[in-house]
This record gives sequence, C-alpha cells and structure tokens, in this order.
Amino acid sequence: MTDTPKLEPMLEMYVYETIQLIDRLEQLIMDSEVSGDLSEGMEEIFRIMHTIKGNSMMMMFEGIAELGHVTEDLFDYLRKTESVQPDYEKITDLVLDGIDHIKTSVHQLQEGDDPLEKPEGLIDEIKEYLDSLTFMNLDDATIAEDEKDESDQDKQKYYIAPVKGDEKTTSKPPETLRAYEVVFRFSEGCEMENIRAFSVVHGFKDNSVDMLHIPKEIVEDENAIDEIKQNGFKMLFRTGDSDESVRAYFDTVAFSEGMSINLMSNEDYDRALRTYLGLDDVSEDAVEALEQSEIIEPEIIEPETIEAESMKPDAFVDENVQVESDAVSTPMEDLPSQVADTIENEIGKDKQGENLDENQKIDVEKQGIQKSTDKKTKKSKPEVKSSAQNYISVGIPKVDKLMDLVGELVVSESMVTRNPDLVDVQLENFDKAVRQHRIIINELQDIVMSIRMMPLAMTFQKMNRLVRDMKKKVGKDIDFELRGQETEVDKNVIEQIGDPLMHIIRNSIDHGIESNDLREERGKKERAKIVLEAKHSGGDVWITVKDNGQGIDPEKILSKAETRGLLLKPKEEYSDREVYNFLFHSGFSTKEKVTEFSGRGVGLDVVARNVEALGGTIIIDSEVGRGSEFAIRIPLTLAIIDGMMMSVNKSIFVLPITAIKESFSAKEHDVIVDPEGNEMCMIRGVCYPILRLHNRFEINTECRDINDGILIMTEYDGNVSLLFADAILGEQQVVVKNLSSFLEKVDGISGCALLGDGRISLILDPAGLVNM
Amino acid sequence: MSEVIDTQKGKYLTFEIDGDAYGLEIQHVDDIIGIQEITEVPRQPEYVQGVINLRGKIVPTMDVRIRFGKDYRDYDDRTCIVVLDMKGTSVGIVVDRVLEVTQISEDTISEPPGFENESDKKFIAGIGKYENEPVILLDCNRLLSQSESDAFSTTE
Repeated sequence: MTDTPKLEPMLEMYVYETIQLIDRLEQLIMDSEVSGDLSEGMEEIFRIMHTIKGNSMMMMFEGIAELGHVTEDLFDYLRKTESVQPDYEKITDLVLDGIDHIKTSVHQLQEGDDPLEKPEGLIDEIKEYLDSLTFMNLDDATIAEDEKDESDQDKQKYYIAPVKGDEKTTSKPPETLRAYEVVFRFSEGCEMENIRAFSVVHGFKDNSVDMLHIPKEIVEDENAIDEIKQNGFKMLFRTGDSDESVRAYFDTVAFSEGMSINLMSNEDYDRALRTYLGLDDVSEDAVEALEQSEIIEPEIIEPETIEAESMKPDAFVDENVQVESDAVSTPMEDLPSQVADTIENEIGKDKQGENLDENQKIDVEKQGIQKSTDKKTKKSKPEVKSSAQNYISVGIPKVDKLMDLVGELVVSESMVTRNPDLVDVQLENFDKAVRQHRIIINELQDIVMSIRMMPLAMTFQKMNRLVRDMKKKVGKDIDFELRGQETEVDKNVIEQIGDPLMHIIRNSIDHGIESNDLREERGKKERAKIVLEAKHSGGDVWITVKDNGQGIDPEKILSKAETRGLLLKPKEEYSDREVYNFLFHSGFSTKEKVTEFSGRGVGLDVVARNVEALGGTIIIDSEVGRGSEFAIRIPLTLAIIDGMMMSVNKSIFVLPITAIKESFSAKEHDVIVDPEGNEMCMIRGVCYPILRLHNRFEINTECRDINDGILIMTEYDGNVSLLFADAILGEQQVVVKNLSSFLEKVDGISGCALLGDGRISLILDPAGLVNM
Repeated sequence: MSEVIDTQKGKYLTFEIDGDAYGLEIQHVDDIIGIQEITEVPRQPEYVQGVINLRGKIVPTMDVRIRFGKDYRDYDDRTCIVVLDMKGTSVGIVVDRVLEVTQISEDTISEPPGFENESDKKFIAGIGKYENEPVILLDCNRLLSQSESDAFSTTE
C-alpha cells in the first residue's frame, strides 16, 4: 500500500476514530446487558465493529482487525437469527474483553508502540461461542435458510479476502439482486480520501457482486485523491442485502457527504457495468461514453489543481495532493473564463450525448451538472461545502489558548473602562460604547466556556463498566444507578474526576456494600444499590456517590486515628464530619484485609488531592448500617467568575456573586454580642453570625465600627454568615488564578484575581468562610 | 545538578543582603524586577510578603532578609525582586540590591563551615570566591522547598 510515508496523520485519525467507536460500543453493550435486550443496539454494534475492522485492516493491524471480524460475525449472526436466545452476559463479557484489547492496543499506538499481539485466545473463544450458537440453531437455520442467512454464510466462507465479482454471480441468481448506484464525497480536509474509499469498497465487497467504482484505481493511482475530491466517489454494485442494510452500511461511512443511494434497473446496471468494467467487450456507444468521461475529467482537474496549488502557501494542503505540473501553467486570471469554457464544453457534450441510450444520457447529464455545480461552489466559496458538517475537532491547546486570551480580554476591558483617568469624567457616548463592548465580551466568554463544557455521560459510563466488572469479582449483587449524566462540566473536570470517582465507587463496592449473605443476615431487604449522581447547584456541580451499605463507623476511625497519633484534641470533641476527614489521610485504612481493589489505604487521600486540585471539596456523610454518601463539590467554571469586590484596608477581596444574598449597613444596636464575644445580627427575625474579615485575615484596618463598614450576607450549603468589610467597591468579572503552591493554603481563600488596574485581589471561598 | 545547561554552568547572579554578597545559580533565575506593590496574603509565614503581578502572572514573594532571620528593612529604589523558577513554580525573593552575573569556577567553591545557627546554614550550598570577596552561594531548592513542606504539613 502507498500509505507508509503518510502513516502519521493516518494513525492519528485511526486512533481518534477507534476511541470514539469503542466508547460508543462499550456504552451500547452495557446498556443492552442491563435491559437484557440486544435488538436495539444490535445494528449499531454490528456497524461499529465493522468500521473498526475496516479501519484496522486498512492500517494493517491484524490483531484488531481479526478480533473485529469475529465479533462482527457474531453480531451478524445474532441480528439475522432472531430465534436464538443468546446469553447476554456471555456476549457482553466477550465484547468487553475485546474492547479492552482494542483499548490497550490503541493506547500503545498512541504511545508510538506496536499494537498488542493478536488475541488468539479471545478470538477463538468468540468463534467457539458463535459455533455453539450456530449448532444450537442448526435445525431452524436449515429450514429457514432465507436470503439473509445465505449472505451470512457467504461472509464466513469468504472471510476477509476480497472476492471477485464473477465468482459470486454464479452463486446467486441476478434476479434476487438489486443494483445500486451510490455516489458520495468526503468532507473537505478529511484526508486520505483514497484510502477511505478503499475501505468503503472493501467493507462492502463481501455483501455485493459485480462491484465497480469510479475512479477505478483507488490506492495505486496517485491522482485518485484528486479525482475523489472533485467528482466524489461512485460505486456500482449488486447486492442481495436489504435496502435498509445497504443504506445503514453507507450511513456509517466516516466523513461522507452528499450521499446518494439509488436503485438501478438491472438493464441500466448491465450497461454501466460493461462501460466501466472491461474495454474488450464494450459496445460502440459505451466506448463513446467512456471517452466522454475521460475527456471531461482532465478538463475539470485543471482549474481545481490550480486552486489547490494557490492555496498551498497559506493553507494546509494534504501532502498527498498530486498537482499536475502542466495544469499549473494556466495563469490565475484566466480562471473564470476557463471555468465557463469547461462548463460549456460539458453542456455541449451532454447535448451530443442525446443520441446515446436514454438512461445513460440522463446519467451523464446528472454527472455533468453535479460536477459543474460542485465546481462553482468550490470556486466561489470553498467552505460552503463543509457547512453540512456539524462538528470539527480542535486541539485542546488551541481552546486553552483561546480561553486564556478571552480571560486577558476581560481584564484589559476593565483596564480600559475603569481606567483611573476616566474616573469622575462624564462621557455619555463612551459609556454607551463600553456597554456594548461588555455585552459582546460577555457573550464571547460564554461561548468559549461552553466550548469546553462536556457532559459527564462518558465518565459515568466508565463507572458503569467498573461496577459491572467489580460486582462480578466480589460476588455482590449491586444495582448501579446513574443520574444527571447530561450535567455539563469543564473539560478539565471531566479529565480529572474519573480517577477520584473510580476510587470512591471501588470503596463503596468493596467496603460499603455488605456481601449478599451478610445483607440477608442483617435483614436488609432492599437490594444493594449505588447511585452516582451529578447536578448543578448555584455555581457548583455536585457529584455524589451514595450507597446503601453498612456505612462508616466513626468509632472505628477514631480509634484508628488515635493509635496513629492523628488526634489533635480530645476524642469527644470531634464531630462526625471531622472524623470522616481522617479517611483522607494518606495510608489510613480501617480495613484489616487488603483486597485486589481497595484496602491499602491509598486512594482516598489521592481522591481528596485530585478534588482539591480542581478547586473542589469533598464531604462524607454516613450512617452506620444505612449507607454512606461521598459528595464532591466542584466549581462550575474554573476560569472566570462574576465577583463583588470589597475592601478591607488596602486589601481587596472578591466574593463570587452567586454566593451573595444581600448587603446592607447595620447600626450598632442591631448587633447582639454573646458572652463569648461572638457578634450576631438579627435580620427578619433570624439571627446570623457576623464574620469580620479583618479579624479573620488579621488585617489592620481603621474601620472596626460596625456603623462604618458594610455587612454582606453570604450563603453556602444552607449556612449563612454576614461578612463585615470596610466597603463594597463594585462588581467585576475576574479571571481566577490559583495561588501558588508555595503559599500556605488559607481557609476561606480560593484563589486570586487580577484587577483592571493590575492590582491583585484575593477571592473568597464562601465554603471555607462559612464552615469554619 | 546534573541538568545544567552548558552556557549557564558556573554562572551566578550575585546580590547583596545586609552588606553580604550572595549568589544563586543563573539557571534558576527567571527575571529581575524593581520592587513593586506586593499584595498581602493573610495567614502566611512572616517571610512571605505576599503576591506580585508579574505581567499577568501571579508570583508569591518572600523577603530573604526575614527568611534569614535578619531585621526587616524598608524597601528603597535599589531593592529588587529576583524571580526564581523551581520546577515550574515561580517565587520572587526580595533582595537589597542586585550586583551582577559572574562566573564562579567550581574549584573556588568550598563547603560551608559549621555554623552555630543551623537555620542559617541550611540554605547554603557553598562559599564561592569572586575577586577575592567571598560569595555565599544559596541552594535554590532548599530556599524554596522548605516553606513548601511546611505548607503541606499544616494543610488540613
């Protein structure tokens, strides 16, 4: 194959596609196991396996290809033989093993290694299973040997090797076959059109007879890419497959656009076949038609190639694009007339073709029109073509850079609009412009943020798999429920939340949930259950893992902590929540027995650290005998917040607007002081504690009188505090930056932010302030 | 240090604190800026002055005088902040004044002598000699990591 020199982009594409497919496959198979019904996902699973097989063959990863092939066979059999009642668990096991193998292989490819060896054992296992199914079903199958079964057998018989059309023509009478003409093109910039086309052809070859395609030489001919790019890729074939399955197959073709699948009459097909297949036995008019197609093509190539050439310096052009040197000689200025000429030529040709066979003429005309319109759109606006494509993949670094820039834009916006030079100046028009400016920037910011937001579904699905595998190994019956999968969080969070969640869920299964016998013994009637839930609340995302297991015994932890010398105050003074926090100490494990999954005491400390790195917190709640709950709170966006600025002496603090309920200035007589010196304020009949920021952060300020400063009511998780600051300075969006790890972590401060004038403010963390 | 880049090997940035010359390996020095407004961060060790805004980057800053147990001295126009980079963490240190970048050959560097005050010694990598004047060469790693480990142990 000619693909060796361009392995890199191809490999990248392969890895990308395979990962996507595998993830989807995993989700499907897990779903079907739960619902006990494979029929829904069957078609899609089959198609995914098929695509993976095709791609892997193209990349010559035989192990994956063959694995894909046997799995495909299995599903092909299942979907066609409805009478079989398969063992879903067995199938799921097999498929999941396969998925793991492919995953590992792909991972190794990413690392630049070779994929894993061919998983002979697994392949044999799947084959065996398929055989056993076939055997079981042999009686039915022989009777109801319908068309589908036949094609299924063909498949096995011919295996991967490409099949010559003629061989099959004999095996199937042409009457039962329908002829199709399929034309499509690949979306712009998808690269390696020829290889993709090849894999499409290859993938369908087994299901069809007399297949031919234009261009004829896909892989060997270097110009094929250009040709496919311009004219699209056309396939003619006959197949015994149902209309739906043909369409389903072509639906899976990656990066395809403008797919048209047309049924042809057998006569048309025969004619077309003779035209394109053999030059030896073609009839007169067929030769004419052939000539025509050959005349048209070079003329069209000309302007196109020039375009490609002229694009080369500034745009990324596929290295594989072969530019014909003689075509380049046409100067750019002549292009429009050149195009017009070509179109005229074509129309003229079409007219000439009038004396040709009726059907064929229409065909040619269609082609001609399609070509010319395609060319026109391409000429005027190359991107029009890609408008049909809904997704582009962009590298994360680019998005990060964009985000940084928007962050800086927000800062510089306030540098301009809050410029000290402008204070006390009345500028009506300027203010208007500023408002407009701010609206646009806000919108830009929202969009950039939303780019990075992804639903948690994928991460949750992985947990699904984890639970499935684990509960089998530990032999506990556990229901696993996912809620709020659609909750969107920042991409960073997605990447980093996986490990902590995994640890927590493992813990729940291993320590939390009792064994089946023990549950019975304790008279717990309900089934063991773990609920993984995500939801939005205020400016945060909460991800909770809840189980109805045995819970955590605070006494046990306390005594363990005592023996390890972790207690800082008398035992009795520890609240349950404080006790649970001991679990986050590294090396802390109450489990006597170390299992495969957990109990080594490594884990929860890592969990805590990971969550902290995301700016989040983790809270454990538990009731002995009833179950426990791990709640992770993560700020929704990590980058830009709306904040209220307040001053304490020279220091400026920013409190997220979402945490503020109200602010007011209190009078001396509103404040109540208890015997211990704690200040409180009564508002609408409810007493709230006052938290003086200057005391909290040890700042010297003149403003100590409650009359002079201002009280800001902040709420976190149901707890309300009144913060006392010198003054409120106003509202501003700030870009959150982490405080360097060099500094000591301060409870109540979550980070810092640059203000418009270059000063630094500290961002208050309501959680840290309220839950002192 | 094994990962020394050839051209920077043996080069030291020297600066003055309390009349003594100190040196830091040039490869750890990111930037030298004049003293600027330092935003205080509450509840930090005494020697941590706060954070500065270094072209949009927020850099914690410490006063080496206090770190070394010397008295606080008002900043003047010769006071500089030397921004160090240790494994990706930037930290600024406030010094009385920056002297120059000099080459100190390895064979002139001697082991630090025993001090009565051990806390002074722990930052010192050796004593170099430049134009017959002794230069106290600081161990950048220890200068910065000490407080980090402090921070970790008190974090709950």
